[in-house]
Amino acid sequence: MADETDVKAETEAVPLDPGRRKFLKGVGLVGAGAAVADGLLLHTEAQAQAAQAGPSANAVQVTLQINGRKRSASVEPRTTLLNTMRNHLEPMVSGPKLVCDQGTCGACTVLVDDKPVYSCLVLAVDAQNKRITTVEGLGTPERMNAVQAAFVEYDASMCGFCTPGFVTTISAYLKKNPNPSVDQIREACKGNFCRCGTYPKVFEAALAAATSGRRGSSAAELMGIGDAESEA
Amino acid sequence: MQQQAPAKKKKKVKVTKVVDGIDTVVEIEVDDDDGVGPKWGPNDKHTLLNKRIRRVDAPLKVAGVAQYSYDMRLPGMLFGRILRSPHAHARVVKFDASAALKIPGVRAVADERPPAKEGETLPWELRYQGQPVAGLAATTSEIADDAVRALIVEYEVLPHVVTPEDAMKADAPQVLLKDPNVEPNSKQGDPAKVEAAMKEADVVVEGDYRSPIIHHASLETHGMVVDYRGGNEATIYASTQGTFTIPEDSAKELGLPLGAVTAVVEHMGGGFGSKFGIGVEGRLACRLSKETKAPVKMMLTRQDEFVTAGNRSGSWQTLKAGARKDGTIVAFQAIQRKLGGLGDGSQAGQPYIYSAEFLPRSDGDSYQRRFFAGDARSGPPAGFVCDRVFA
Repeated sequence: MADETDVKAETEAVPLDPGRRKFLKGVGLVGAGAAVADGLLLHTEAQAQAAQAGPSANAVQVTLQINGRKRSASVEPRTTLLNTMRNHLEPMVSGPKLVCDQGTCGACTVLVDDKPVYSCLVLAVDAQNKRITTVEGLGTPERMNAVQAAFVEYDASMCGFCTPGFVTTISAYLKKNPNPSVDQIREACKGNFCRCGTYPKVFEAALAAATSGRRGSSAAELMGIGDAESEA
Repeated sequence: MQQQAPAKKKKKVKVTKVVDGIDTVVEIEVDDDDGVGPKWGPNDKHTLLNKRIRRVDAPLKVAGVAQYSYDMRLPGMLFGRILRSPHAHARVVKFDASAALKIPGVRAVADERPPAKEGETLPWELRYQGQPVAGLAATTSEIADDAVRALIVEYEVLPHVVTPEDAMKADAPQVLLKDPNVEPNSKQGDPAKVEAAMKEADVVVEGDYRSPIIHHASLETHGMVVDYRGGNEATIYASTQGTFTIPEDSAKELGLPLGAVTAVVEHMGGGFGSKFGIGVEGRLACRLSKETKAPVKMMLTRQDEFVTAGNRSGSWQTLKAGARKDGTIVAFQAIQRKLGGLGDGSQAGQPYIYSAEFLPRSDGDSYQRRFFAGDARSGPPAGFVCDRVFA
């Protein structure tokens, strides 16, 4: 992993209240005077005209420290960290995926000061002066970290869209708890969805990553599944 | 030591082979095994089976560098968004994009108004909640979101139905443009034979079941990046299971010859049978790219995905099964009503995996309800209700 700082409790880190995000994202719009009814429509001419002022004029310069590098972009204050990385940084950081855009699925997980955070729930302006680590910062295809290598070895990804989130979440968790039970791994991954259903392999890979270096216990034994096939 | 083995029988089969870099169907000669199947030899002698094989794309995926269509970003690329109908049934009486177009960064709006026929304006009717009304392209996704909210639309709300019971009523508003809500019965099997078989059964079980729609819920939503800058060719980066299904429809929308459009899919974030063709979002993206001469990225939002990206249809099935005491199923009857909505959907495939001496099937009334259902296989609803009956 990129950083050596101790991981703090996740509970104090993850802003899980979607209401907060809704409010923050709406600031630009409300500020411009447009009203939204039921999210989509029923705008009067006056409201639409008020929206003409356009929020793009409000762009601010943000400087982010991502994977050990200083990166800058000009974004509206309402722009999420996720959209800033994917749509505004040049070159982009596209390992974290946009899937639900409402803090539910975990595909956009990044580490902010070593704590796993949904980057779709954080504004870029709030992520300045913090150390941000994405899946790209954990390892490369040529030099994978233990979790990434175990994911490959244990075939823990199918379509792979959730994989960056899982790898990031598990990498942070193993740093906090290098000797987890499978139940603890499952608990740590509760904020990540996999639609292909690779969970058993994900947990197996996570345990293998934790136990790599320790002898006498395989991932299969730790999981209590007694599956000889899972031995690499 | 024994006599020479007889010459193996041969047969011709068609296979797909790369010829000059193109997948081509060719005929080759193989051993005819008379249906016995291949003899693979001892398990420890295989080169592929029983071996741990690494997925070739896994290192790219675990390191976050696999490039999905959703990850495409091109110079000057615009972000597309779609305004969707909030009503299950409505007529658009006013559509005004002028305010949206005045927002700095908004580059183009393409509405879904039906084209006039012989100078005559056709009514602009929306037939399901979530149906695209218009698409637009802007320099950032945030601005595109604003612009969607700034589109001024007035709807004349029309009556609609959402439950099977309401759809079957005589005075129910018609869901489809031409066909009635209830299709004529299509009966298979002989009712008299089923009746007779039921009498032989020691046990008769009946049940009435409904199954909801099942959504594919791919993590990477449907959508694509259309890269057309006004020249003679275009490249489409689509999230699709059918790369081959992309160029034709795109070329039509862009006004280009078929060979001028290339579809690229490096990685796809799940499809589960739902990702074929360019869809409405693809058509809109092509129109917007053509209009702006800039690449347009039109990926569905999660909300869009749930209302318009297709699903497996729901079902309502009334089953009756007769069995002997030894467990043999002797008769089976199913009255099935598919709940496909505008997308038609599919029937549950009864009697699932079971067989009986008589397998007549009585397809009952079929009707539509106001949901968009696209492709759908019928296994899960069939299996669910069948297993409930036989349990």
